[in-house]
Amino acid sequence: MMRATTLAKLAASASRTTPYARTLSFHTNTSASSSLLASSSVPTACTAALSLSQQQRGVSTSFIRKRVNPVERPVSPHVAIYQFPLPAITSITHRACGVSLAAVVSYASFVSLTDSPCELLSSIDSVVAAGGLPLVATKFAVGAPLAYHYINGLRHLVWDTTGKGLDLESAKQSAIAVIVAGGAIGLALAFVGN
Amino acid sequence: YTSKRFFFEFSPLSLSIILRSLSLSLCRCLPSDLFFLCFDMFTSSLSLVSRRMLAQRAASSFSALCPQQTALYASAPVSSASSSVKTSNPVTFEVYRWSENPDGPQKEPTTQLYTIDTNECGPMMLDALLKIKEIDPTLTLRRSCREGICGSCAMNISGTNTLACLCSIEDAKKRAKKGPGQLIPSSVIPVYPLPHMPVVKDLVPDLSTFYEQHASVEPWLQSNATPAKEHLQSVAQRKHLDGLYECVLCACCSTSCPSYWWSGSVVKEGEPQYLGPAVLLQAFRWIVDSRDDKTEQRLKSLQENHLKLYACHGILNCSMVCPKHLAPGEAIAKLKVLMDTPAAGQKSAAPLANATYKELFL
Repeated sequence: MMRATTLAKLAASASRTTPYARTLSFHTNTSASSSLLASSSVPTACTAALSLSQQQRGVSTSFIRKRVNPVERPVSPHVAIYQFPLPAITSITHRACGVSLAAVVSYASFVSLTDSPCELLSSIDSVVAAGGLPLVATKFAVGAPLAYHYINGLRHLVWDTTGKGLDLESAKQSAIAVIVAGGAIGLALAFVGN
Repeated sequence: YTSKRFFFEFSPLSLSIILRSLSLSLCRCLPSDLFFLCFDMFTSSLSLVSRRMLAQRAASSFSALCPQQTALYASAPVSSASSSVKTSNPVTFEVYRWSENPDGPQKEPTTQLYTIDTNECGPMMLDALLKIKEIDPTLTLRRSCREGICGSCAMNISGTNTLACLCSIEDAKKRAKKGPGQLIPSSVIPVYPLPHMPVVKDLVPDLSTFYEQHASVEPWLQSNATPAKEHLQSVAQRKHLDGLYECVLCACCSTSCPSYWWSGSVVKEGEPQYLGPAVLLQAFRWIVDSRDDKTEQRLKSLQENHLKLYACHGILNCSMVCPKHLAPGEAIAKLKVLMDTPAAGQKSAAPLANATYKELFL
């Protein structure tokens, strides 16, 4: 009986949000402006849905989760205490390299289009002319993020298109492979060419 | 949520600790350590390390500082013959403490150090925590089955989310010593609640958002057929559920995901949110169940906003941390592949998506 009505409700709802999906949106944060803590409050939508189903079953509706005294709760520490494993390190490095690459490209594009591309080119030339360690360091600083981001991007492509290689062992092995390959190609880019 | 609520403050010791940690980590000569070092240096864990260093030095003389604690052990009934040869194995724990103040403003969370003799308790972290409760009964934690099947005692031990009843004290000590998660290895075992969750008290997080997210994917069988007996299923179809049905909903995976931290665990009303690896694993479990007939609706509901499924960026902290050795990251990737199929509303399927769909459903 209960199941039939639930199925009927589901069939009837043409929109993608079901009655139960709406329960997501009720975790309120009352004092939004200065509140830095998560505050618990009465979940009104969930209460309504629950009581309807419970009424159908003839169950007493008084025993519903009610937080009468909303308390400002602290959020437990996260970044400060978590020990991030290797795949997580590769992931944040991928993001950092992407941001730095985007910044470099944006800066170079902006300068080329507006101010004085000659200045940028001449500063590059001076670094090239200086040679030695500054040149290698600069080339590594630009080439290593590019290589690493590219190879890790291929790893993500394999994950997204085939859904394979995501078990623990494969993930750890591919993480090491990406770091080694990215570093190696970055070094190659730094030392080869002029 | 800003750094104002961080209870770790920078201490003058932190500079010396940075230098020490630099020399220690460079000695290991691993690129991953360097990456992590740079990352960790910019967090406020520096002061945490200084506290832990002080705790380590204090732990050795802890019994001298706290005669009450040692008195508790001396009073345990032990036969005089064995007491002389009884060895002790003291271990120090740093445990997160917070309780609400019913009247007036809330106080800041703190950590409390406890030293117990691990020869007097069982081998698991849960045994140690219950031993600590003998010293300090106000320490509050969830626990029930003590065998890793109920999922109640999920917490963050030595920087990793596990079930306390499945994490041995030796293992926690090794992880705390190894680092580099705590920047400097330490023999003090840190015990924290699940990360980035509202705290009810001490090690008890508020999991109501987690449960509501689970309810939102409608985790029950929705079948059009009403067979006289069972819904029949072949052996191969039942095999698809292996690795999915064993989830105990402990929330270790979801609370280990940085994406869930930023857009799933503490959400404002009406805003789109990331469901988290545990809930997405369960959503996948019902999509892949051959007896269920609402596959299209389930797939389409995950496309409702840009965060429900797609806030996952493949960080894979979830698979690393699952105490039942499941792979939520893999399930989420398969979900993303299935989004490319006509069942999810796409006009045509990419060849690889088609292959996955055939493997799972035909």
